[in-house]
Amino acid sequence: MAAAIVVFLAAAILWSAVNLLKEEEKKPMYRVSVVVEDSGSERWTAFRLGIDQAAREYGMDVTFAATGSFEETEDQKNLIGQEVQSGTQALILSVFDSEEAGSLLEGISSGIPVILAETDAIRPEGPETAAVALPGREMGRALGDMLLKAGVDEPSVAVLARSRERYLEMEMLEGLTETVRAAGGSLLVLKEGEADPDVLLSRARTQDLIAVLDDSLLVTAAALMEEKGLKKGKLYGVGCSPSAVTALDKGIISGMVIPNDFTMGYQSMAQLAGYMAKDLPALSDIQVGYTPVKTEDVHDPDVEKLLFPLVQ
Amino acid sequence: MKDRIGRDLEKIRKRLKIGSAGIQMSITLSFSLIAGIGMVLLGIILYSQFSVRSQAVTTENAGQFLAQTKRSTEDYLRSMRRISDALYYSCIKNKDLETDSLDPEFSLLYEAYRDDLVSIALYTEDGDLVSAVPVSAGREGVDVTDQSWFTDALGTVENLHFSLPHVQNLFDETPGRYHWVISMSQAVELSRRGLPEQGVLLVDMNFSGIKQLLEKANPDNTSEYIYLCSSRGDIIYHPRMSLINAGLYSEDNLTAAGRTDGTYMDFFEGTNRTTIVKTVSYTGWKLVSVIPHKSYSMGMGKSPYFVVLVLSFALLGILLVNQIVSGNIVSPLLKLDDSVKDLENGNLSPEIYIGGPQEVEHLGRTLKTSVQKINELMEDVLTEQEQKRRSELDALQSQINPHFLYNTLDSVVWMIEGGHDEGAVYMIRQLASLLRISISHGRTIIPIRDEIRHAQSYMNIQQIRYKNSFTVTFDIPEEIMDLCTVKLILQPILENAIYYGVQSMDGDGEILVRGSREGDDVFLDVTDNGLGMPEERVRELLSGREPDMEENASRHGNGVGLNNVHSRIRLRFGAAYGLVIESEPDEGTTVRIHLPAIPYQNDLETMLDGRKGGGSEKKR
Repeated sequence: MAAAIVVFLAAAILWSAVNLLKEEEKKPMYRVSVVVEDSGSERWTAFRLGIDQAAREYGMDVTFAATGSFEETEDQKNLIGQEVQSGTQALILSVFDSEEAGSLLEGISSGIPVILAETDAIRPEGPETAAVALPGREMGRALGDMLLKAGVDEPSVAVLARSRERYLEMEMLEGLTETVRAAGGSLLVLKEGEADPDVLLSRARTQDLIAVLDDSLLVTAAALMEEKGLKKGKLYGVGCSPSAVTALDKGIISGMVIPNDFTMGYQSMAQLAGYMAKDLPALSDIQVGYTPVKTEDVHDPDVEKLLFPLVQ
Repeated sequence: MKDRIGRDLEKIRKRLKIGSAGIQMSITLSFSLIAGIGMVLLGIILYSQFSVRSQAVTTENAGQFLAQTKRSTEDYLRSMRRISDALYYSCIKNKDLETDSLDPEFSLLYEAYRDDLVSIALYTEDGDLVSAVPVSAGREGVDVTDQSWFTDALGTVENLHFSLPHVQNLFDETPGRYHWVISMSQAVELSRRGLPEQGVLLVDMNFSGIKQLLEKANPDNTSEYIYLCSSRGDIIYHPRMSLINAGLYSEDNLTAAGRTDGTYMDFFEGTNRTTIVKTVSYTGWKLVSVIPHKSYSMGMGKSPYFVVLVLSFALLGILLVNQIVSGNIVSPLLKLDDSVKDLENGNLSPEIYIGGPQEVEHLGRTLKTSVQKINELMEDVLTEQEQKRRSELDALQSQINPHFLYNTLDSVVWMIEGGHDEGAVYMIRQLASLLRISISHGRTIIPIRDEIRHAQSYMNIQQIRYKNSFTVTFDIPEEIMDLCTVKLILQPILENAIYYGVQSMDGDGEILVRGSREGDDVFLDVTDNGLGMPEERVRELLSGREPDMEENASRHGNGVGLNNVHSRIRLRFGAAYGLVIESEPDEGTTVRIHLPAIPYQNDLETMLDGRKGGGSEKKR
């Protein structure tokens, strides 16, 4: 009996001494790559802030892959391949083409979790892939509601959109179309690439109102309108870049649907951190919100917090 | 007897055995257990004290840090207030707006504090811009009269008002450039053409000044943090402001804003935390320090291992010390146990260990005394056995008394010679009966019936010998005939009755042998009407004074005395039984034999040996 107790105590001493002398296990810092089109664009400002905030909180090493404009899915695929080869352990992607995302994801070896940010896509089912996406249809409807409140009955609306097959734009267009048509309005959809921006804007101006479904297109349109001294009150759109916000503040853009990109970035990184630390059994889809803002509401205290997060 | 002693020794040895092997282990384990429990309890108490003290120290440090942050914030705000006062008292009060320009002084001060200031502007009470630096032109379409900083200044003219952080939108600045500011406004008295009028001085502080100050108070990698809110609970700065704005984090700012300065224990969003509130002068803002209780245990990740290590070492030490102490306690007991083992192995005079603690020493002494008493008892038993053997031998000798036999046979010869053949036959028959019962198959215990028959045979012979000079009457009830008696106890008494009582009475002597039963007792009384004895003589008869008895025996030819009968009865049936003699000189003597009423059985002798033992116990 006494011998057993002595053996037990000796084991306890050994165990505790070993653990005391052992180096404290450091929490691993996972490397996450973010691959989005035109990574230097202002459009990603709030998104980056969200990602950086979560990376700080969860101790993740985040790399924004330097990208320009993608011509096709293959461009993004090559970049992703390079990131994987360089040893990234997780990916946050904003896919170039939702329909071709399958081939994009095929090239990513298993064991690397992937978050599809901004828009969903065709993707394999599994715990390692999820979408932290914007609600395109609802955003389109919110934009439509703003257009309908612009003081034009049964408006004719020119819609400027990028010529890519992404679910987000498709859903936004569907939501906008439903709303405008339901109010007796009509739509003229103009795709980027069909003509020069000047030409597109000229065509668009023939309509009562202009709705732009992409931040960079919206900024371009606003710049052209300001440059040409065109009448304010016609331009609406979806965007969140500081330039777009400035144009909104100036009244060049009369109303914007602003996606909560900060939340999108934060949740994307938080999901990966939880999954890689094995706190989450699987990645799960999250839908983030948006806020419709008119020019006169820009300096509302709550809206200011949303529109000017960089300074704060 | 020896078996019984062995059993007793075994009991003692077992007791010591239980105590020896078990005591050391019991002492070691129980002491160690008690010490262990004590240590754990002490550890818990100390840890609680340490924890409470640690929390108190952490809270105190956080409070001190918060007070320092408060002083820094107040210093910063005081410096901003001085700028505003300098603008008012050094510039505005001395100028007439009609003739003087404020721009140079405004620019001078702005340049001096451009890192902390975004703009300085002076408005009339109608909201018209009088002067502003660095941008002189107001933004088109902006009406300041409905802005809170303006209405607050004119609402309470004696105060300096601090707004919440907001994006400045008063001037046409560089496109796309926005500043987060805290507006400091106060009502001022303007002079135009010598006439006083009211205006509002607006100093927009760069919010980054406050932000940087509070960021320094919120180092990374800690769960404690400090935030700043207005007296109404609007958050001015929070290290996780972006998350709060996005709805991803929440703060208990409204509760904090309603509190006076002090320390509070909160439970918020599933977390216990300590909140310290301090109010910032000039503004009424609340600086709040939040200490989640989980932060108290941070950096103590290896403490459990340390506690286990210390506890294990301490328990091991206690076990070792207890083993030594218990060994010292048990060692004398083990030695005593060895003595008992020695005794158990047949050594009736072992060397009993006497030593160790007082209790063990007492135990040793007691054991030694017990062994001595056992030895004494054994000697007593041997003596008793020897006495018994001698008594039986004496009885046997009485049976073959040659003098009696010679007299009897002489009487037979005399009868034959005298032609008294029938008398001779009768005499020989009585003698044969006497001898047969005397032999009794070697048994010591016989039925009363046989003893009476033996006595009758004896008395028949004696009557013939003494020519019927006395009479003998036997009055024995049938109910006691089959009870037990020690054999040959009546003959010596009858012999005494003849020799001392009726021998010389010339035919008047009477001897009565009477039996009776009273409960569990049987009495055989032998009464004679002879000479009797003085009381002193009666005492001598049963006192065991052998020389007298021998003397009597030699004098009367009788080899067995009354004391022999008395001893034999007591040896068989115990000290409660035996003879009682009552005698009066010239009156006669009655010798009462007292026996237990035990029905006779063949194996009774063995049983009565045990019973006699019981009698011995009773005697003791």
